[in-house]
Amino acid sequence: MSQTSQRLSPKDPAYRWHVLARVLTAALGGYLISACAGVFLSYALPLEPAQGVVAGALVSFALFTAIVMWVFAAASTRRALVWVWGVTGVSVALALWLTRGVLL
Amino acid sequence: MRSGFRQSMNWLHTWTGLSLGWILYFVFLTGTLGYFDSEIDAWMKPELPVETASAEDAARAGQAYLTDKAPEAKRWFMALPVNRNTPHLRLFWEEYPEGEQARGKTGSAFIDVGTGEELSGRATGGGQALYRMHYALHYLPRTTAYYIVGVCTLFMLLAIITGIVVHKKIFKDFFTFRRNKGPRSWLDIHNLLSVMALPFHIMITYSGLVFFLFTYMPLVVAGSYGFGDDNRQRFFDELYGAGATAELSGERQSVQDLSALVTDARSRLGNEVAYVNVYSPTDSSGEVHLSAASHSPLRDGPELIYSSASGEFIRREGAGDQVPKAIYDTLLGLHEGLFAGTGLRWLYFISGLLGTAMIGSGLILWSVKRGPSQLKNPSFGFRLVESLNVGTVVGVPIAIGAYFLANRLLPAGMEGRADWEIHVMFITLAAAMLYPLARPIRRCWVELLTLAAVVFAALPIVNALTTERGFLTSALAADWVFISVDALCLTLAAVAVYARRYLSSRLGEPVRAGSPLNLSAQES
Repeated sequence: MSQTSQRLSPKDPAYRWHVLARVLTAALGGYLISACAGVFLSYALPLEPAQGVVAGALVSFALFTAIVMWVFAAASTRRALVWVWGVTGVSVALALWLTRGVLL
Repeated sequence: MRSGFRQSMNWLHTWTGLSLGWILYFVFLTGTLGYFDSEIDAWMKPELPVETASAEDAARAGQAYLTDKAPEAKRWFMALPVNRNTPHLRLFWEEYPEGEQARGKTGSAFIDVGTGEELSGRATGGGQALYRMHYALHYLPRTTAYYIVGVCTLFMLLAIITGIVVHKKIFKDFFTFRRNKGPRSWLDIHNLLSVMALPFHIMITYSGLVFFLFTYMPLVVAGSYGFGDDNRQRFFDELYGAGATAELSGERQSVQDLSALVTDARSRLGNEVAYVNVYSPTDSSGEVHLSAASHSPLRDGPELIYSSASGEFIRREGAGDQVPKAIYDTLLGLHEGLFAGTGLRWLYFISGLLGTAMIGSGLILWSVKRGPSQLKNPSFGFRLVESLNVGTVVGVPIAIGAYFLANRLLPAGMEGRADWEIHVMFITLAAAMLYPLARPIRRCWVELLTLAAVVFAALPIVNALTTERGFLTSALAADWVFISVDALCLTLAAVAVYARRYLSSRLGEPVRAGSPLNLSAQES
């Protein structure tokens, strides 16, 4: 169960699907989490709004890189998917709540 | 996608590096040439004299031209010819918007200070066109290109970080080179090129992303300011300052002598004035903003503000007092290197070349490693990589050489001349990339390297025949731009000849795991 992709050989037909799932998770989930983290930071830092946005956006790429690396290092595809999409859901919900009145 | 942390990072390094590596190679090489954009501009317009006018004379000539050309403008801008970044007086103006327009019409011109006329000379994209390609590519809508380059840059960042992570003995490997050992030699050279300029590679890649920070991360802006162009503009106005702050009075007034303001501002700044902005030049509330060229990576220097109507000094605006903005500016300043003097500029250039070679050697390493197992039945993917490798690694330099040749050989009065220089470049690149369809891959390397040697050896000769600034003349006049271009072309030709001889001496050898470029899978 938790050993899904690590023991998969590249010749296994399922291997490509695992790669695709991780690529999509890393790209979309990673992007959304980093963007939300940028929003959190811009709200949390005691700065003028414009400066907070710069600080949040500057840090987001480093986080994005770290998330992508983690997705491909995770022991199993399922583990990577569950964690990243779980955190994505929570971050997006929290970001929407934080920015209520500004975004919508 | 492998068991074990290091293995999975190795996998990620391989595939992030390979999949967009060819675009990155192009981006790195054109961006590296961008460190000498002004010098390439000068080389590509050899008939232009070197501007020697003082800042005051330039300001006077610029003001006369703008008063004549754009008397009703909303804003005038002048970049004075005081350093290498601005070899000639550059003007820009923006009219007031008419009717429904969001922004008024804009115009720009390069001016010969001596005559006050627009600069003549051949139409060319110059070094600026090459420099722009490294972030805006060509033939593509700007925003599309920014996104493509952005994704490539993120892949580059991932490849660099994973490349460091997989490295067990980064220091020891740096001093290791195993000659004539096939894939091992390519791995060693790839390590050497990567580690030698590692801080540069990380800085240039991360700061490259930062250039389009708010394009790539629009949600962070929207989170505080809301969606839509107006809200984005509000953010940018708060970040950069909105330019002129005063309300229009409606009272007409002309602009005071700008050259006197330049003299005054120079003594207040303690530096040569490089940029002059005039907001609302027709109005009595108009402001003149003057600033110096950047002398440090923190690009945002102090600005002096005068009344355009009376010429009186109003106030000084400091810069860099907000930490996030200062970090942001410093990253951009480090990337551009506008503050760099000659020595540091060459270091930037060499680091950029090392980065280009790092990407090229990584691409070749991929195919060399897989060569032996692909001998009998090369897969489509393997042949594609091999073809793209030779087509870009040798093809992009040839294409840039063709761009320079086109600058010297296309007729001066030709319609769309500047565009055709660039068409020549991309037609050459396309031909080089399609060439592997017609020839076995190992012959492609040898033949394209021959072509590269011919193109770069021809450039100094063609230059000497078509301009009055051939090698002897420029050597006698200590004309360093022309001397350097000739020398670099000859060096490149020599490198191509060396690589060609090395490869062609091995054309007849059977393919084995140990041969450095066993790319002859299709040759039989």
